[in-house]
Amino acid sequence: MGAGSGRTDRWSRPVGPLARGLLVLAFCAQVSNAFLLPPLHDYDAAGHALYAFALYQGRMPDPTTWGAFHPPLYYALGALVWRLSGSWLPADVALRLLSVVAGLLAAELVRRALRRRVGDGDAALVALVGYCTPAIAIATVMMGNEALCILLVTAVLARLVDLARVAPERALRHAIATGALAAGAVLTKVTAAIALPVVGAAYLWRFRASPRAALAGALLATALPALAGTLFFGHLMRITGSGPSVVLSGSRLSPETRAEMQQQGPGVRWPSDYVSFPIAAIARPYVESDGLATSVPGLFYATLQADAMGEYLPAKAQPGALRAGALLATAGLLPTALGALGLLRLVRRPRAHRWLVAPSVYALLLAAAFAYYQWSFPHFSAGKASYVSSALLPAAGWLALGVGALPARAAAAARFALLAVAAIDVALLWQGWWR
Amino acid sequence: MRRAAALLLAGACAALACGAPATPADTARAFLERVGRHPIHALPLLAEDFHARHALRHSVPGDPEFWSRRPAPLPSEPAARRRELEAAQLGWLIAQKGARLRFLEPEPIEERIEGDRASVAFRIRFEGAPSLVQRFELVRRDAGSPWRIEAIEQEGVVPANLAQAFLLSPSHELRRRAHEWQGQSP
Repeated sequence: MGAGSGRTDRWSRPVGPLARGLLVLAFCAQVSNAFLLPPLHDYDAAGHALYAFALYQGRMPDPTTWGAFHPPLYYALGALVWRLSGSWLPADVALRLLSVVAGLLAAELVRRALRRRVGDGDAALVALVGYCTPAIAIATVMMGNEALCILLVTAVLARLVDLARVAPERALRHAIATGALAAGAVLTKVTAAIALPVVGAAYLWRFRASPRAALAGALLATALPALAGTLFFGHLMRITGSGPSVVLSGSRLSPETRAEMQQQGPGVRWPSDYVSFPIAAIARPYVESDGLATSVPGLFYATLQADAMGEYLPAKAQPGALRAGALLATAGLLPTALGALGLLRLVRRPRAHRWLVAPSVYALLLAAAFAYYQWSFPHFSAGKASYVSSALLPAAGWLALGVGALPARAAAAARFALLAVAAIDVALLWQGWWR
Repeated sequence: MRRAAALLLAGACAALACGAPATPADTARAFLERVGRHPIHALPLLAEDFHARHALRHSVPGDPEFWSRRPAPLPSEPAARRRELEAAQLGWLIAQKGARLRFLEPEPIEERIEGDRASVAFRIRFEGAPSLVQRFELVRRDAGSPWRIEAIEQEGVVPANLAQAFLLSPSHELRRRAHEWQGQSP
């Protein structure tokens, strides 16, 4: 038997220790990448840096500055770390290390949340594979609010995975802690707000036998984050005089961001963009490759399993980086296929994997928001898979279900193959080769 | 537990107290160490008026106002000033994307302090390119405040060290000069 049952065959026993060892190695590589990545090669680096710098100086940034539409939590932590690290740690590295630590903690939360459901070995394995997936690995080494959002949303979803084990008399205390984490997530990145209806519904459903506990749990878990989000975005709407769609999307608020996006293709979306998948997404995963910028799933895959934006791997400057991208994208086919198999298994028998339903609903709502975003912002930089990286936990859960769906020998082989994929990701994404 | 908290607090206070360079020369040297490698870390060393002089802004290809841009004082109205300052800081940072500058130990050649104003100059040598002199004008609010760089002038900039000169002090003027000289784009 494999994942989903909590037991593994004897061939798979070394997988857990190997995965844990590789996770430590991956973390060390990420720390070194934080130092080696050239200055301002992080997505929207200057905007993130200026936000943290404004808070470092004790003021909020101008609301129309690049990136100032983001909620302030990551930048406040960044400003604090910048202050405390003084002159001995460069500010850009300090801001990146914040992401590195958040990424590792998120992977550990995934492992802890899944181990009771899929067994220690598979939980460690899927946490590792998730952590090393290029989109996540890149997001968790760059400065920016993405990694902290992954961590806090994962913490919220991990509490929903565990909700079935919470007694009704402990519902309120559990909901308060969930609400605090969700508030932190909403104050980090707007996409985390998508978790709120899922959180509310999860408490209502879990405690449906006791309507008072259900209602109180749902309210306590969602009121604080809803209030925090309303206050921040309401304030932004007041001072900019903009409507909710402008403020929530952010990129329309700053003249610089508008100018940058306007020059990016494709400029207009067609329904066919949602179903095309150019082979370049695997063979040459770079945004300038034929047909990639116009294909929503193609660009999504190429930014999920490689670095299609060419910000992290120097695709424009080095042909080797393009070859590395092709290898990453090819290796990524295995976890993608197994994850899809796991999702299919969940859709067919949701009651058998009830623990994964709420996180999966979050992931699907996030995917729907991502698809809409592609329509309303038909520019390639909006197509980065990192925008849905906060779905790390459900994706890891699908992967575990996918592995568990295989016959024992195939599952054992798949586990070792997944370890190899993670090792390839760590090795090829190490900046030491490229700088 | 209390001891650990006290140690942590002491460490934080020490970090806060030791963070800023003490003299104008220290500030200029810290800028030189940071600008070509960690430009974000150089931001706290710069006075607001510094950003009125480099005229760098975010721009996209085909921007019709690109070559006509000139340095201009920051507006006095607070909101407009903050907006313009952050646009200038953004442009200054973006100009240094991927910057990796290597130079030999800078040689201090002048330091003058008059009250709350100072002038410091360093000769900077490179391997395989002519040296240049970078002169810093610094100010401080009062005797207890840290020195901040208000202006940078360079002497000895020639086509052979233009790329290095740009990374040592990015400005729109150097971009224009590169365009005029060789069609280079630093």
